[in-house]
Amino acid sequence: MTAILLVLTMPIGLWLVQSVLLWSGHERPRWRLMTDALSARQKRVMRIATNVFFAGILIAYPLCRSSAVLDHYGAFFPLDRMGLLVGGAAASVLYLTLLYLVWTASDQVHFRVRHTTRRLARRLVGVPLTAVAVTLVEELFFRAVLQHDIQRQFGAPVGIFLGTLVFAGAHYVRKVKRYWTLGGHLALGLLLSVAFWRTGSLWLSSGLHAGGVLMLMGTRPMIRYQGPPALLGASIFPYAGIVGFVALLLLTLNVLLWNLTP
Amino acid sequence: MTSTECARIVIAEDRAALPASVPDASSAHIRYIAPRDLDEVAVLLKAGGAYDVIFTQIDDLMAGLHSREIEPDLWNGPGITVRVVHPTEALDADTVRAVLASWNRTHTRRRREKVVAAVILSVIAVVAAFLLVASTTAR
Repeated sequence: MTAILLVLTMPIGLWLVQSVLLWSGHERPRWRLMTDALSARQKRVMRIATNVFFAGILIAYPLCRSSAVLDHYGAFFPLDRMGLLVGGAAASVLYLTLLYLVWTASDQVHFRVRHTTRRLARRLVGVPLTAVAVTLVEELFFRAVLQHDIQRQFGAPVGIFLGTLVFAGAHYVRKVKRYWTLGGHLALGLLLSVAFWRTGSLWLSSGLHAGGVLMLMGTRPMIRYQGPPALLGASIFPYAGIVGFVALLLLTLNVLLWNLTP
Repeated sequence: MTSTECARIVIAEDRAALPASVPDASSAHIRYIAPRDLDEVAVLLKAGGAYDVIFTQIDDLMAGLHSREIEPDLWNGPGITVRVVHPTEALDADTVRAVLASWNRTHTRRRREKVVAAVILSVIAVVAAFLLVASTTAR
């Protein structure tokens, strides 16, 4: 329950921060986080507050369990299992590459550079760092804190179920462009939760996660979806279409069959 | 420009090198948009109103159709005229309208065929990916 309570402090705390920001600008409070009523500067403050909450919860959870922060998270990165990181990343990249290849061949997506070389280079340079940062924060938060705590108290099935649900739901707490991508986020959450449960470490889930983010963010400035969204997904959400959804379920099966003998 | 007039959009890479056949090229009411920004034109057309869209190169019109940045249903809509004014490759509005309609018919049929191909190829791709990952990692 410690993790659930800590995680709950985040939306509540962010809502309070947002309300104070709106109040200071003589605006009434809004239920939706990152509302359009916030100015660009206030949105920056909200982003900083989000990171502060992430960091605070990641530090507070081990301390609440009387464990040193580095000891707690270090246990999820056993050095003899490091190969799972590469294996997971390779598996995600392979799935997405094959799908992009057939979608390009069947004219469902177009690859075309829409920026100047300089701007494109600037965007691509930051992609590996984004992939590492997003993966590290989300894996520590959703797996090493939330799922770990639920699994410990209520068992693996409940841990996987709630871990998946909260991971997917968290992507929709603030206002987003598309809500129909929820199914894809649930399948992605299931894959990462199963990888964590199956290996007891964060290497495999981090590899799968980082490989996916790397591909999606790396292709984002160039890719244009032409086919039906129900089939292919859209933008950075190819896993939200039927094909991506099935691919994630097959990748989950791959994880279940993965040979974990060192 | 009065509200009853068409808003004029010229698709041109280099405003300084417009062909003499572009009417009123120096008018302040003409909006110039680069061929790579056809999506901006689509946004204007979707918002509604009367538009006279002028291409200075037929290649830009055809490239827009190929890349699907030009949706024939939208660009052939009521109140919108599209023409090409290149000195040697000029197409009047009626001809462009016929080209867009023909393109749309062919494209709709081909799109269905390609979606079927995508479904079949996607199934093969995910099964291949599954087998490849399984063959190297499974117990």
